[in-house]
Amino acid sequence: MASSSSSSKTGLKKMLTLKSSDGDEFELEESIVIQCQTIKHMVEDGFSLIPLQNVDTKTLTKIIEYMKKHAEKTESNKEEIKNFNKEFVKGSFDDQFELVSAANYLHINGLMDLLCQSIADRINNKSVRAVREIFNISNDYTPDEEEKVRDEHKWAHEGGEFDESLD
Amino acid sequence: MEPSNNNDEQMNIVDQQISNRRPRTLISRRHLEIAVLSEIGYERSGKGGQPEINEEDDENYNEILTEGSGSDVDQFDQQIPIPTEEPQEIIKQLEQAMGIQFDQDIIMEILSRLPVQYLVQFKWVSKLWKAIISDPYFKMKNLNHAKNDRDSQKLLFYEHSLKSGVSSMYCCPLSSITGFGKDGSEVPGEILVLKSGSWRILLNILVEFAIRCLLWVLKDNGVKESWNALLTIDDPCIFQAVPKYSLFHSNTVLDSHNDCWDLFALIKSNTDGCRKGNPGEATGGGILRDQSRNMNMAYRSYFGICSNNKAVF
Repeated sequence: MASSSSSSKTGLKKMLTLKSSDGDEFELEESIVIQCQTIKHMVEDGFSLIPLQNVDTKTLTKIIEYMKKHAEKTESNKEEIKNFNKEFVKGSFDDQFELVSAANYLHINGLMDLLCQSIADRINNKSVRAVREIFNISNDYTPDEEEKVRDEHKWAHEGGEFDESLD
Repeated sequence: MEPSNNNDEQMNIVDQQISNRRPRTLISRRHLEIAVLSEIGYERSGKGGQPEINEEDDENYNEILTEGSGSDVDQFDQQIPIPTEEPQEIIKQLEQAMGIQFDQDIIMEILSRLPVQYLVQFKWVSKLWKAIISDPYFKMKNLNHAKNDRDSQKLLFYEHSLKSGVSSMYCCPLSSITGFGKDGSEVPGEILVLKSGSWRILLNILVEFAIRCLLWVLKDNGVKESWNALLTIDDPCIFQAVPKYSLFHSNTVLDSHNDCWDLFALIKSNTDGCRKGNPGEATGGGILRDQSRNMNMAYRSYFGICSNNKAVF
């Protein structure tokens, strides 16, 4: 009994391997990885090599960084985590979208929250034109329809100054 | 059958083209590749009907590529990198179409965290966004976020009943779900952002008209009967010493030394909705904003009596 408990302490922890869409493999402790619901379910189903075809190496590296940090979360390092989160959400919109898609796919709720909030904060004063550009959306209104939508909500479009920048 | 390295080369080019596009979503690269390849194959073989894309991707690649083989491939080689606009155009369209499809949940997640006045504006982004924002489920989600977010905008109501001489004030998270009509229907109204001093005007009205001030909470969201008076303030001296931005002195629930945001931080955590449904009594409302700690007051006029109150605003 004693030996088994000591072995679990000395690091014979269950390891899992995540494989990115680029084929790179990352070996991680199970305790870190189970923050992610999708993988947790796979682990429960007995997988130990987990291919993530929707997540590339760059994104996966970031996500692992996040999971590692948040696995250390205790009462005492709240401030540190907060700062980490702050740093984590810096970066281009493109990177954030990659991350948010991956977080959505992997069901990492905390990360999803963090990213969505940060994106929301970043776009909340953007002009419609800038938002279209950022989200890669083409305007599918006809000029007439557009006029109508604008008229409907005229008060929301006037008075304020909107940010046209794309970052 | 052309040599296999031709295949590889083509794949590389397509790969490159795909990488050049900004990846917005996690559309499977595989699908884009197939789409491009099949389109090329289709164009060049001149056959009708688009090759089907199914799970046997690899077989399809080969089939499509061989279909467009022979002189076509030679031509193809001379055109490196693929100058045809079409595949790029197709990738773009696909990416957009599939991207939006894929992203809808995520977009909803993001948008549900936005304050409502931006949402109204963002309806103009595209039809899809308008559909998302108008969706009842989304409204509920948005309201839930607004409810739980300390910093979100809240609507402040002031109500004065001529009959009983009672003035009530209540606040709620501002969300597109809110309806203020007599019968609960949504009332079209203008939201005007006034400058920070406006708060005082509201105060003055309180002083002028109020005998008692009631703060209401809605215990169950949407259930009219669950409105409760959170607190009643009828101490006249409350209104005598009024610092610039606060209502009540610290012995009551509220701290007069801070700005009155604290008042709302306190109230709103218990507040759930904003329908009291007292026909004929409600006269005004406002938005309280705490972004960058500025006190901004907005006021919404809607059904009601008491035109003299409106005149003051």
